[in-house]
Amino acid sequence: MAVRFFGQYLLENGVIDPKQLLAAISFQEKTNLKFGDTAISLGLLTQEQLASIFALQRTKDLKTGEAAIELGFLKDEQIDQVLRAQKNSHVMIGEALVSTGALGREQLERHLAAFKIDQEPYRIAEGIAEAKDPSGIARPAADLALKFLLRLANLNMKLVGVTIGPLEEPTLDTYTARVGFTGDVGGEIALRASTSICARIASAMLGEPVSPDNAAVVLDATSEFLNVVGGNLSAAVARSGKKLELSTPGHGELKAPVGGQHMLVARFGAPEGEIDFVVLTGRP
Amino acid sequence: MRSVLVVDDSTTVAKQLSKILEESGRYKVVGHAADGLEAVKQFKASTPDLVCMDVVMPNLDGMQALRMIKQINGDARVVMISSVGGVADKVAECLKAGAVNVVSKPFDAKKVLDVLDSVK
Repeated sequence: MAVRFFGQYLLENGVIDPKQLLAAISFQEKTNLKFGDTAISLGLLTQEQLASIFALQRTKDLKTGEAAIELGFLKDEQIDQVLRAQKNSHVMIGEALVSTGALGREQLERHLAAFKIDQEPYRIAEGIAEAKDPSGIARPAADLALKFLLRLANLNMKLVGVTIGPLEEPTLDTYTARVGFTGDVGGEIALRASTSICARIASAMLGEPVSPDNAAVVLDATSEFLNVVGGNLSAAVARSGKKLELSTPGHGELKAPVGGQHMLVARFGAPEGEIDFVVLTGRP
Repeated sequence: MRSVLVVDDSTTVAKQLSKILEESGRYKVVGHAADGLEAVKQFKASTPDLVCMDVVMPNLDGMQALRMIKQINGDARVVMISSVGGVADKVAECLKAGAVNVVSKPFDAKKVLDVLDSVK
């Protein structure tokens, strides 16, 4: 019932134990070369150049490839060559579990098939145009929010509009839950909805009626709902190599985006009401 | 009946987990801590059989609290229950620090009880 990576799925289901998973991860760490080591193995970088890259990375927030370009060690096409080589030689966790003896080949195939079925509901659906989502975060975030609204709050909402820019002034009393993130992309996700919609989310999360006036309980539950969306978002984007570190959830009105920030507002609608789901990315 | 310390900054999650554990008839919740500092303090005081702990929390996060609990008692049984349970790096970090399992949020009663029941 969540976005998982295959190793954790096997662990949670008792197929493997923590020692077996750690052994497989250790195998991957030894086998899957990092960018710099791959470039050296291809003869594109020297150890001395890699040391210069690391020195630059201590003063500038750059990925290894970006630093190599800045220092004039590599060109764009060589970066692509290294990335292709990394991708082609990458040992996935399932293969690592077979290599370390935790799983047999037939077991791997069987559990992979079951895992694909388990994760099928979390495939990112079309909805928000790619052009409106330069960071690549808003589309999966909004999609996961819609899926968890249905699964956790029994709210079958649809995406009814997407706008870029600040939130409109609300016409009803609302609550706003917020979860920040740092990492490859910085920003936050937020959910703003009427107090009655948020109370409905809280009631579903707690399995008991919660009054819209009970702000502390409604906000805690709505923030936790958003935390689940954020955590699953970080798992989903990790599959494409992006790292997101979540902050503890909070609440409070969102400010309008400032220079360098991009705010996408996805409006979800259902007969019960509307939700504004906000994805703010970029640093001010 | 095994005693459990529930650690999560969300009262919603603490209530959800407590309900699941108490209704099973196999677990007794002996405390709820809302951050890592409180978790370590309560772990020392109540010496529970199991700890169910979130990762992202204020003051002291779950990873740091896990390491401190394992220093106090190397045999402590800690299950991390987190929304970042699907992130490979986080799972590896939890296991390396001594967690016995990692459960993803959102969880259901069966999954939580299956995992806790499997902890020896």
